[in-house]
Order: sequence, then C-alpha cells, then structure tokens
Amino acid sequence: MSAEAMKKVLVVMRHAPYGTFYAFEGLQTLLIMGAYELDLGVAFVDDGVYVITRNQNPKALQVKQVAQTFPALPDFEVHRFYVLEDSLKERGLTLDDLVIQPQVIDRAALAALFEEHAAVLPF
Amino acid sequence: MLYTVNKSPFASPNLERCLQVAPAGSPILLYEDGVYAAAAGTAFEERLHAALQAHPIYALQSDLEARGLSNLVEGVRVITYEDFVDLVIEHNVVPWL
Repeated sequence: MSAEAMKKVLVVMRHAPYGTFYAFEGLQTLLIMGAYELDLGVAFVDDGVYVITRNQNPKALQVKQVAQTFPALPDFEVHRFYVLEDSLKERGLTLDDLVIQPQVIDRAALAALFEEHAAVLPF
Repeated sequence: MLYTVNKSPFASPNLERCLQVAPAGSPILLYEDGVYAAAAGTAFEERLHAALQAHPIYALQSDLEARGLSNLVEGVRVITYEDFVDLVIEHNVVPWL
C-alpha cells in the first residue's frame, strides 16, 4: 500500500498513567496497530502528558513502567508524536521532563489534527 | 477525620471539593493520581499551598515514585504504606472518591 493511501489514525492520550488503565491500553493499541500499515500518530493532551514524564518507577505498585516503551514506538511504525503546549504549562513541565520529544502544538493545531485523521482514538 | 483523595486535580474537582468541606486541622492524604496535586510548579501549587495553611497534607511515597514526582510543594509530608496504616488507625476516614 502506498504511503499516500495509508489511513491516518490518531491516538489521543488524555489520562495519567497508573491510576487507571487508559495509558496502558492506549500504548497496547499503538503497538498492535503498528502491524496494520496505518499512518499512526499519538497526541498527549491534559493529564496524558504525565504518561511520558521521566523517572517513573512503579516497582512498589508491581506494574510495568509505561513511559519507557514510548521511545521504541518508531520501531512499531509510530512516527508522529504531538504534545499540547497548554497541558505542559499547566503542569509546570517542559520537553526536558519527557522521555520523547513530541512536536509541541497549540489547541488550534490539535483541532486541525483531528480534522485530518480518519479516526481519533481516545485513551 | 482523615480525608483521602485519589484523583488528579487537573482531571477531577475532587480535591477542590474536599478542601471546601474538610474542617481546618483535618489531615488530607493524597494517593494514586491524587499525588499530582503535590507536585511543585503546577497550576495547582498555589491552591495546595493555601490548603497547607489549614491542613496537614500527606502524599503516598509509592505513588509519587511511580509517577516520577520528586519536586514537591513545600510542606507536603511524604509517607509510606506503614504510615498510611497508622493514620487510618488514628483517624476515622472520609474517602473522597
């Protein structure tokens, strides 16, 4: 299938990790959909920015660390990463606090992203 | 009474509502996603700072570590599960779920 014909899918991470299963399931979805010749992107919005912060250590909670898998996503054909600027600012975070370096976008750009994707999957 | 909050202050009004009800002096425990309220430098810091004038505020260490939070609002007391048990023995609990 040519790159032009590939369907664009955007996963939107909106929940913090560990307190709920949203982040785990969003990550699983990205890993699985990478096998289906889709043009995959992921946007970190609201508490979703907490999914990719550095220094997570959930050993005492006996669950898998979520953030560490995101730098490997390009190997699973996920190549587009976005983070909402206001969500970072509200939480006092900068790109230096994150394990990957997503493209920083504003709310208008996020809305434009939604428009250009065939499917928007919220987690 | 010990008030416990487990939701992020950015995703839920729970902590704000809890603070409106909890009488001055009553301890508040932040756990699970509630610990994000204890992080320094956020838009919620000023609110938590004000709350600390009226309440002892505790945050569960394991939940802070899981989320990579180490730079906390001054005055927040980091506690272990054992300390959590002691608090629950000492106080009746209002779980603000």
